[in-house]
Amino acid sequence: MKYFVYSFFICACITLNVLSEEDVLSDKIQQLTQWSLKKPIIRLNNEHFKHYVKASSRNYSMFIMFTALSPQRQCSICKQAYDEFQIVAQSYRYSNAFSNSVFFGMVDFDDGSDAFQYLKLNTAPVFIYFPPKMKPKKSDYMDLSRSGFSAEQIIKWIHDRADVEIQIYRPPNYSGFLLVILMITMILGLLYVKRDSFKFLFNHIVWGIFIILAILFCISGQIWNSIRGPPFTHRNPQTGQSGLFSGTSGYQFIAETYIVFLLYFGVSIGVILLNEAPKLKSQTGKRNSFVAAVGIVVVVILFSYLLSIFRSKYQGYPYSFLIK
Amino acid sequence: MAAQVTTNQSIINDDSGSLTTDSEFQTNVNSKKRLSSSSNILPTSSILSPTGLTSLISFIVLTCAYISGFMSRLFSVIRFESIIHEFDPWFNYRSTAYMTENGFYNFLNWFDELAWYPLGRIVGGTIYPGLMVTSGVIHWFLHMINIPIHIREICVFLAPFFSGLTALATYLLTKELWSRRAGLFAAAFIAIAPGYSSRSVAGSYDNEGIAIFALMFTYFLWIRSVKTGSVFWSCCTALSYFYMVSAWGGYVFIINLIPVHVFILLVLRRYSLRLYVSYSIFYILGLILSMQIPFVGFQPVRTSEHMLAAGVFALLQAYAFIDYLYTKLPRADDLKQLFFGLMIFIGLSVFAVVVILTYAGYIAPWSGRFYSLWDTNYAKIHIPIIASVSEHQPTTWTSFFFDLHLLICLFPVGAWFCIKELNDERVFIVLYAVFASYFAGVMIRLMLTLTPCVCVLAAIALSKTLDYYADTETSDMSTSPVVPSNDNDENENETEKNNRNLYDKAGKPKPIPGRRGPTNTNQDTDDDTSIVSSNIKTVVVICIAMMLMLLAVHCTWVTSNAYSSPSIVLASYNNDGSRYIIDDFREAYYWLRKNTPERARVMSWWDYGYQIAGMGNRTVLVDNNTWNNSHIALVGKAMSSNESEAYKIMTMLDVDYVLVIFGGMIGYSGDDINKFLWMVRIAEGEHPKDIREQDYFTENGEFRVDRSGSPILLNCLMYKLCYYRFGELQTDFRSPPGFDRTRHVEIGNKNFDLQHVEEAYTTEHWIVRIYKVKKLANRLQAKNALRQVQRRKSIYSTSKKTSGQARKQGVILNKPQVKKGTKVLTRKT
Repeated sequence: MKYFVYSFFICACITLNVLSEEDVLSDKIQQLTQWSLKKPIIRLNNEHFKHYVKASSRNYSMFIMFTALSPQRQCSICKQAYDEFQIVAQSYRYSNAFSNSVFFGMVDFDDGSDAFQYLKLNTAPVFIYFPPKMKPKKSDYMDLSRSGFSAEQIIKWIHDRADVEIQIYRPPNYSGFLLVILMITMILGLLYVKRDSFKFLFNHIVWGIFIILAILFCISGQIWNSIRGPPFTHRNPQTGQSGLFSGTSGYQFIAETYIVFLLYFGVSIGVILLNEAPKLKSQTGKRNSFVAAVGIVVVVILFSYLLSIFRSKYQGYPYSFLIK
Repeated sequence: MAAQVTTNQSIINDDSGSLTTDSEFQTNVNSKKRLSSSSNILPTSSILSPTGLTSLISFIVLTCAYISGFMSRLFSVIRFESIIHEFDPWFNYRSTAYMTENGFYNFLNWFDELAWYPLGRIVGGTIYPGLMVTSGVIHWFLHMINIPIHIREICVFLAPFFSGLTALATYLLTKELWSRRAGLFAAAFIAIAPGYSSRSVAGSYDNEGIAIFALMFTYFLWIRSVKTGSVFWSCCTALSYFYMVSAWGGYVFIINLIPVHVFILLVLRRYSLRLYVSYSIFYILGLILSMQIPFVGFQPVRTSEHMLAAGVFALLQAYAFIDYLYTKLPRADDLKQLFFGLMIFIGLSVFAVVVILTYAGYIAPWSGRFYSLWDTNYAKIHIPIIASVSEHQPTTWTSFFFDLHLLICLFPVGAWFCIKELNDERVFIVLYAVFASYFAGVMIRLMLTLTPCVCVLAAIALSKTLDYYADTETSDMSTSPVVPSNDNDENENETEKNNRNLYDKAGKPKPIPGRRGPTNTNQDTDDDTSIVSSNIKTVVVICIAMMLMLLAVHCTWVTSNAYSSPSIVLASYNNDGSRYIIDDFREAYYWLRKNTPERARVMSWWDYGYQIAGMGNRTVLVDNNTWNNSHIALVGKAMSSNESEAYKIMTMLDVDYVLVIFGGMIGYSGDDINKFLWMVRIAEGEHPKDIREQDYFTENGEFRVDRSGSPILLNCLMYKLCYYRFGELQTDFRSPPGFDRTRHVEIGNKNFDLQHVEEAYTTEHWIVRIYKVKKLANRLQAKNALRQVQRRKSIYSTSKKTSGQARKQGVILNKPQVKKGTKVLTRKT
């Protein structure tokens, strides 16, 4: 009987103990949930960090951004990263996946320098995932240098780590929208006021120039530039010389495409001059001949220059015209 | 051919002026019926009627264009043999062969068991059958007239045959748009332009080969029907469109460009009953016809890609109705603004309806491939399998220049001339130019749709320039023989052009100077033709002729050097210039065909799926029809995980053989190690927990296979299969053993053994390596050491082909009874 009482007592003690621990946990979760309902990113200072994150008795996971937002730290990308992180947290807060097992937090260096010391961080911003009941491993650090800190990448990382699917919702940027509206109304207003001078809209020349520029934009490889984002020019680190043209046919610099754009444009102008030459009004015809000569010279020179650029880029190309 | 043309000169000289008049007459009729007074002078005192002569010359030039278009695509046949190229053509060939054997209806119901094991593929419903039907019909016809030709020859020569037809279609289109002379130029250009011949050399038996013909022909018929407003021509347009739909997925380009044309014409207030008739008939008929293709099905009414056409159709009906009201109502002019407002309201409401239906789910939103054209980063983030294909990359300016050379320089000028003398048809070509050049900039593959447009516009620019400059007075007769009779029609056309200036010149005497006025200048200002001195004219003609010759030479060079490689047979050149053929692919596929069980499943990366099925006749897991991303990701995962993990996947998928392409031995750069990161990326997309791209990089983020490479890379299945026993091989006296010639490094992981697979076959230059997946290991297996020793011995002692046999015997002899039973069983199945 005695043993029974003892064992009962011990059992009760253990249960109570466990209960109390669970109490602490549920308190924590309640507190965290309350905070995160108020604000999607929980701002943690030293004590909070120790209490909610560092303590090993957690059954929830946390994504924490370590950053330095105060102006005297002069961390410009921290602000951008914070904005992106906030978008993620915001989307999480209002998504279906919102639960009380995952929380988003942030530690500012000025509030929580201990946390920085504890994790031996000397850079900011850093994103770390704290899995439940464990310390973060190396793989729980987000690799900012490779992936960047755009919200999409953060979401991908979160999905990898905690298996939480978040649909990103960016608050629409009304300022751009408003600006466009304003511009349109201004243009429309201008058109309305000056509706007698609508003529320019029916002017073939204006449209023609516009369309030719659009075509030249495409065929001179500007789309490639916008997708691949090459440097403007190439600078040789040894000699310090800058080269306008890349040596391979599969790559190009921005400056190079501008030159090609101008060359195409020049050839077009040349051909147009050729065709305009006979129409010019003149007494003797000398002027016409001159314009035609200029036209053909421009066409030939620019075309052969283009060909020589192409030849220098395309190894083994055998042909050239006038210019090597 | 040049000689033939020159013989005509003497005849031409007689009635030259009238000839020009006639073609000018054509031009003027085309360009909004601007009949100039001079063009009415038709001479009657000629022996040969001028029209007849023009047609004769056009006929000759077009024949030359056809022949040279056909001939310039035969480089690969002459150099190698009559063989199907690359990847997709092999599937097309296989299905064509199936169709000719089993008939069309069986072909439509064909369930292909050799692909996508274990899923299989319903071929009839997932392909555009136009290509197969075309060659099937030709095959049937030739056999009917007792020419017993093999279907393979038809498949090989189909694309050159159709590119000749494309030249004709382009001629017709340009003739409608500008003039007959420009048409001849355009035909000559398209026949040899590398941008088009890249996809239509002999042996590249692919949809694009016939689709570009269908595209140009549809556009020609469309322009025709807009000009005439006749029901007949719009029905023809719809039929040609149907052929295009049956041939290529690029029909979406037509069904969006034509509505845009109609819409812009409405905006430009160029609405006419002709437009109404032609678009209404084309849309309805085209819609019904296109839905007859099983693969297209209900897409034309259910997807966003086609909604532009439907919306414009609705808009056009409303516009026609309002226009009708406008003419009928009295005092309609007072209500002008009301009508205008009504029009805009209807336009907006049509747009709103489409948007609402899309949100309600009745209309599928844009598919990924289509969407990635507008948002260029879309595919990179969401669909790595699209981004991984090299022909979906954006285009550098070098590629434009490489594919189009002089034409790309003249292209904007042609657009400019079209805009300056705008009419209903030229709106179309300008729109085509703008859209196609944008798309070609986004995806290198769509250079194909840009090329015909560039040819047309460049031809217009050139012909307009030469119209004036080529008719000189002085004896520039001597300039025309400068052009040699090269085998390219470009020169033919050039000669033809010079010819024309010959007869122009003869008829040039002062009395008829007014002729040339109307073509050059639309308002006849100063008709003094000899304003620009004749010397300058000669110089201009010579310069242009030289540039055109350069173009012809360039086109031939590019077609011969860059686009005529079959890519399943490689050629390399020794130091003394002699050619050396590397035929490893066919060697390996033939080995598969002859030495593996009939139902064996071969795992390889999807690039080689069609070839294995077509040449090896074995079941593959994934192939070039990348319809099932997760299956491909599974294969990618197997390739990028370590051997035991990969073995789990391989047993799950019932794989018998694994095939990898390895170029390190001879320096072939298109091998699997170079593609490997895409496998990792695609696998990561589906299995982000197990595969992580950054694990395959070094600390510095480099992808290397040498000693500093990441250990995960050095132990993954792909690495092991590629480099198995490569470390023992010294390729060169100067390099250490295991030196990879493609990546120019010594490999990092040399001495390893394979646990779950064994080498089955390696081709002569090690390009293709085939491994057999072992069955599950026996539980009663003896120590590994014994087997190791034995296998080593057998590999060294016997040749590769027989080693498998010898090894099996040894293993079976030493194994308990159970083992023997399983072996026998597996050989039977």
